[in-house]
Parts: sequence; C-alpha cells; structure tokens
Amino acid sequence: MKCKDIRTLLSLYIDDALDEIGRERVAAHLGDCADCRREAEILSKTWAMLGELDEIEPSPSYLSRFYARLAERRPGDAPWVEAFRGFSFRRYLLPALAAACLVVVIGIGVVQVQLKIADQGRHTAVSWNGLDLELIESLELAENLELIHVLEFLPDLEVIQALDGMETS
Amino acid sequence: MTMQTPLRRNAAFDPDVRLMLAFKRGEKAAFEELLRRHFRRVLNFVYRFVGRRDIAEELTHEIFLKVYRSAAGYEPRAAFRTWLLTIAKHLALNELRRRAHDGSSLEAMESTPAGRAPAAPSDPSPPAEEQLIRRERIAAVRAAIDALPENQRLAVILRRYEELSYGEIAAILGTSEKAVKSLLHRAKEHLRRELTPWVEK
Ligand SMILES: [Zn+2]
Repeated sequence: MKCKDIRTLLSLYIDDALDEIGRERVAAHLGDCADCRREAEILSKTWAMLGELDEIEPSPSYLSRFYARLAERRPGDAPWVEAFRGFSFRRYLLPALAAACLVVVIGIGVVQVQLKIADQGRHTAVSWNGLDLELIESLELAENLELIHVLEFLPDLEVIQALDGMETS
Repeated sequence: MTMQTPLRRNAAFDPDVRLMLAFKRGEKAAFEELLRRHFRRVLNFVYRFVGRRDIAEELTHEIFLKVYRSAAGYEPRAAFRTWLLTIAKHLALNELRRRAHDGSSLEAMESTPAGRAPAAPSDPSPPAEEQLIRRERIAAVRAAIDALPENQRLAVILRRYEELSYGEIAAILGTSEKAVKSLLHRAKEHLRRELTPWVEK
C-alpha cells in the first residue's frame, strides 16, 4: 500500500477501528515508513490533546433549580385553570382526554407523513432515521400532554397513566 | 430497522431504562435518580458542543424537562443514553440554529464571565506561566473543536468524550456507521492541522 492510502486509514487505525486485515497492513507499513509513523504519532497526540479540555460541574443547586423550572413551566397559574377546578375528573375530563388522544394520534400521523416528505429532499449526512422518528413521535405526544399539566389538582403521572390505559383499552 | 431487535433486548438490562419505566409508572424518585446519574454528563456534552457554560446549563435543564415530559410516551427502543443524547443533540442544534437565525451569535457574548468555566477548585495552583500555557492549550482545543462543522463536532464529542461506539454515534446522528467513520476521519485531519504546533513543542 502507498503512503497516501495508509494516511487515509491512520485516523481509524489510531482509534482501533480497522478490521484485522486493515490493522495488520497499516502496522506493517508503519514498521517500514518513518514518515507515516510520524504522521500517526501526531494524529494520536492531537486526538489525545482533546482530553485537556475543561470539564464543568453543575451548579450546586441544579436539582432544586430543575424542580423550580418544572413547576414554573406547568401553566398552573393560567387564569382558565380555575375554570377546571371543581370539575369531576371522571365525568368531564376523561371524554375530553380521550378526544385529546385522538387529536394526538392524528397529529402524529400528519407529522410522520410530513417527515417522510421532508426525508425525500434530504441529502445531508444527518437525516431522520428510525430512532429520530420515534423520538419525535414521543416528543410530539409529550408536547400535547403538556396541555394536561394544566390540571394541577392531579399528580401529572396519574393523568399519564390514565391516558396510557385508555390508549391500550 | 435492522438494529432495533438487539437494542430492544438490551434495553431491558439497561438500569436507566428501568428507572425511566419506573418513573413512567409514577415513581418520582426514579426520575431524580436519572437526574443525578446523567445531569453532569449531559451538561458537559452540551458545553463541549456549544462552548458556553451558561447556555449549556439552560439547555441541560430543557433537555431534562423534555425527558420528564416524554415519560408518558416512553418505550425502551434504544439504550437510555442513546435516547437521552439524541434529545440533547436535537435541542442543542435547535438552539444553535435559533441563535444563528436571530443573529445572536455565541461569539458575541464569549467574553462574559459566565462563558468561561472556572478552574476546578481542587486544582493545586501551578506556577503562573504553567497555568498560562495550560489555558492557551485549552483555548486552542476549544477553537479547533468550534471550527468543526456541526456533524463532525458532534461525532468528535461523542467519540472522544462520551466514548460511544460508532454504532451508537450513528444512531444519535441519524446516519450510518460508515458516515460516522468518514466524519471522524475528516474531523481528525482538521484537528491535526490545527493542533500540530501544540504537540510538536
Ligand atoms: Zn508511508
């Protein structure tokens, strides 16, 4: 193999990401070629140098700050929340939640179709794959569930469980 | 999706997946455990990507709010960290694009004190000159990483600092392992060009 070919493999070689054959070929070449050996050394040193970057610590109050944000984001102080207080959950809200679920399900369908269309036009290395699609679905679902967080008098997870139950039943 | 079957099977053994499922069932303590286990790591992932401590903190809170709200629809389809870092990537990219769009560039505020991480308190204070060189080297690494295109930067951070496999990086970036190798190859060439003067000294 020529030096030029070896050079393109060096970054994978120093990361131990070549298969056995590739690894042996590069190693054999490096045994004979001082220039490529030097190049391999610089590549691994610059890669190692990245380890000098500083690490940061979360601020000491990060947990309480998180919960403060969570409470603040739940739009429990919106004026129309008051209108919901005193309603019976089972009599009035379950049908409403069921309807909301339907909207969410339809919404996901629309998003999927849109993403498929968007996907066809994409040429970049980073495109939507299955994981992203699934993630987006669950995020979309979660966004819609935020509406439900308005029901401050219920622990949010009970609502979520109720929704899960309805979806499966 | 050929990779999903093993992921689905492995997910059951992922302690973080178990915590997430426990939280989905209503155990609030499980979420707090996830926060404790992952907040610092996500914070550093975002910090390395965006380069600003204050923005990284903000974004990390947003990422975990997203995780919190996603509990309802959560299904263990991937290892938890892959899922978590995919959310982190999405929000960090959105934030960068929003800022680029608003014209509020990251560099414009770079000199604010909050933008620089304080030295770790446990550091024994080295002689001034040594400290200066150390800071210059860190700044050089920072600049070299910042100059990478987004995809390459993400690949480098996920490989060098998160120590993820090519497969995991591919899943997070939504691309193939081959594309990840190519991204990393180009990134390493760039880093070599930028940082060679520092390693030859
Ligand atoms: Zn050679």
